[in-house]
Amino acid sequence: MPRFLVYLVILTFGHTFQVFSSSPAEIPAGSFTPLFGLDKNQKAFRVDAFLIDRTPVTNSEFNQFIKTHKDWRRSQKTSLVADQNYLKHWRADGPSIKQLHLPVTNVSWFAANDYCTWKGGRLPSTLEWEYVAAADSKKADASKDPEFTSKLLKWYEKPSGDENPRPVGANGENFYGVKDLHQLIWEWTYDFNATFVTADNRQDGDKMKNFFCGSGAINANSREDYAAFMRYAFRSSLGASFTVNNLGFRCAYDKKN
Amino acid sequence: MIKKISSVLIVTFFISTGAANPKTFYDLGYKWKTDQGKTVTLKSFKGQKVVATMVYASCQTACPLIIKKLQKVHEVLSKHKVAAQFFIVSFDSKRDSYKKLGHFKMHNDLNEDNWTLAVGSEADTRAYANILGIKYSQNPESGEIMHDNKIILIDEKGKIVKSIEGLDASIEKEDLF
Repeated sequence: MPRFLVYLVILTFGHTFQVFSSSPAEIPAGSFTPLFGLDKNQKAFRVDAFLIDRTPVTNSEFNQFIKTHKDWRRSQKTSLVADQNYLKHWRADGPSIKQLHLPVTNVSWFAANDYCTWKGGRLPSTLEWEYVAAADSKKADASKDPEFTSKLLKWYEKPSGDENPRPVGANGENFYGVKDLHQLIWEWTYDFNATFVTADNRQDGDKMKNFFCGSGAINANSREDYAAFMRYAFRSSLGASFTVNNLGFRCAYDKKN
Repeated sequence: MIKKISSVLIVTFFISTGAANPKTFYDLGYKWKTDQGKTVTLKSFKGQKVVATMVYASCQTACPLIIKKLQKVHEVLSKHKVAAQFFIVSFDSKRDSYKKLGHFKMHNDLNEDNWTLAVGSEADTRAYANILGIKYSQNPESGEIMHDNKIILIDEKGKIVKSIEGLDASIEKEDLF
């Protein structure tokens, strides 16, 4: 098929597909034991019901935001809220046709946060994100399932590079009907850096040990979930103005009663 | 005439939406309620040096120490006749009312005019902490807050020039502006 026809098909049906898949997934309330964040006397946190985007935000969607938020154009970047690589994969002040349905990356936390606010939502908390991401296709919590976690680890082991990025929605959906939480990109969370408190906060000796000891994951809540450990460690290494070529985001929404 | 008015309106609209893409510390559009009950933005510090940190009123352990360190900074700067604003934002937007911060201020003898304690919305507090590079997390059930202990120095151009970490209170002029 000639190339322009492929683009035409993507433009026409890609858009239709977006409309059908655009209503966020409803996530029921529950209880979840995250890898980090619990006090010694706590077993699990309660997670309230909320909504979350089924797929990460695409270049096309982010471009819609920029059209009405000119401050966030690629050429307007400043050091306070986005580093110099902000949207560097865009050739100009917009994505190329090929990039439209790829997840947007090279965006700072501030940009992601403003986008979600514009959408009437917010970034998911780390707890919420991990709660949804613990699901495989059949059960809500597969975080102790070695088959599930070893699959994720294989993806984490691959060097990031610029290997052909895939459009959003290509992976199968999980238990909640949510896609691409794994094996596509890393994602910002609202409190991405909250776990890893530095400086000499005096009671934190134990918490620091979780990250620094070679056997760090053993101190965490679940030895099996080394994949989650990798995610916490990655998020903790970020600053809010950082932009990374395989780091994007999706939005969450409070449930209206 | 109408054209003129509408262009003025458009201009003011763009200004009043605040800068999503701030160039300096003073351009950050976050809103704060001070210990005096006044609503301010960082614009009110424009052209002045700012010494910034974050604490919360019910904090028992690290916060008294960081306040002590801040008082030492205050002392050193006064001695060297360096004018600066001391701006302390609360981590705890849920529980710290401006009145509570007023008590905290009195209790810690932060009496000079250049001390300001303030509290804002949860969203503004989180974004502001991210600008300063201060990490924190609130345990959703106990309400306890774990946080970095940092003092951030902002010069009169609104540029963040230094981040002083830790609770050790030995401060010399060279460590500051």
